[in-house]
Amino acid sequence: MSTHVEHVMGMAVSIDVRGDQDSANARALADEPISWLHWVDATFSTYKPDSVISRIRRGEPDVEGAPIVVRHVLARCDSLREETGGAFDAGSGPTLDPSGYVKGWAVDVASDLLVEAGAPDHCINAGGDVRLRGRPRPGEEWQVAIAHPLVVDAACAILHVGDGAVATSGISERGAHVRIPRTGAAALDLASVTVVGPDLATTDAYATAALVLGMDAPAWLSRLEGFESLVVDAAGMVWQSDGLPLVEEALRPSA
Amino acid sequence: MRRAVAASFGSAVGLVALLHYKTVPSASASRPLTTSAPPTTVAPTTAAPPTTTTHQTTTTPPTTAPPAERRVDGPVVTNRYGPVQVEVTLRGSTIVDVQALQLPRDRSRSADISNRAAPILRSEVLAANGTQIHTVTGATYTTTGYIQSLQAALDQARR
Repeated sequence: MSTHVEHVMGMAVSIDVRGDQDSANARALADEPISWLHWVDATFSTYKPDSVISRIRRGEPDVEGAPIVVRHVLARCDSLREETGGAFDAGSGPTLDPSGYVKGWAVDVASDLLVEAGAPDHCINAGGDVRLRGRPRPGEEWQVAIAHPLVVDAACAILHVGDGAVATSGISERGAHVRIPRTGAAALDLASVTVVGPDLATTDAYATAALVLGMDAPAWLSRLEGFESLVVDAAGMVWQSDGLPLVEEALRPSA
Repeated sequence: MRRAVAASFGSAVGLVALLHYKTVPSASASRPLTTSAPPTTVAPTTAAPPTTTTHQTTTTPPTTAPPAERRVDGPVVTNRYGPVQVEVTLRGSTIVDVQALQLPRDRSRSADISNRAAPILRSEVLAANGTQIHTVTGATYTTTGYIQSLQAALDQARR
């Protein structure tokens, strides 16, 4: 068991590899996923002037001339915009910013690389969004605390998850950084939205979309097949979907 | 950053935000795991002592008895969905529960509604009576935000 923390894409990525590897071996297993994340950053960054995305924003190559992996990501962003009625929007032309999809997708691929390298049991936490594979120990499930969006150093729920992903979008760490695409206004109705699903790319995009939908989010989330969710609004009220995998005994403080 | 965000909400959140600063010192003091994360957010609550403090230093002995619980009702705040009012339960200066006293009608109709968000404090998350936490999900941690996060404490404990 070994945890490596890599700073990439402007965030901390914790790679927790379980199983009987010693820590040197576990670090070696993480080499390829880490190189991949840096490659994704160099290719998709909106801050680096020589990234493919920066060049597309300047109109240097058009989307058709971009590498196939970039076209794949942009096509998926387009379909997510349609699926979410425009609540998830990666922009286009000079405003193109697929970061809201790229992060989760990059972590999904990194997780696949770890499995291929012989580490089927691991947890990757990328800036508070999580991809889980296998088991932490034989017979146990991964347990994921949801950071409370309104109370420092507290959780509002604890979930148990097998293979899957948990993503949270909210206002607490970066301020109101999610903006409503049509109006440009900050999304402020909700303090945070947590979505549980099979892959991090889609799960993260849905969490972002739900934050933008504001008070319409609980109803919208409840219609998604195969996804569970927990929403905390700006007044501290909580909605949870019927199938949310809560660790029941952890719901209340003990003392 | 957090203060700026809190200030941009209405007063219902202002209440919670105000209490959440008071939460920090006791939550940090009670954590059982030693971590490298310094509770630097304590500063806002301790930075402005009353000028009479120097005369009172002997009148505030540290107490080991558990502080009494008390409940505080927030103001009724009407947003575009209707009136909202919360009741916060405190033990000392630590929030132990948040209950909705009043919700907009369209929300209380929802079958999925769960009207409480009882915070599970850092000490309980990390020590967790029988509950093993492997990771923490939350709104995007920047590289600097990570340093003080629960996730960083968990990573540190596993090195």
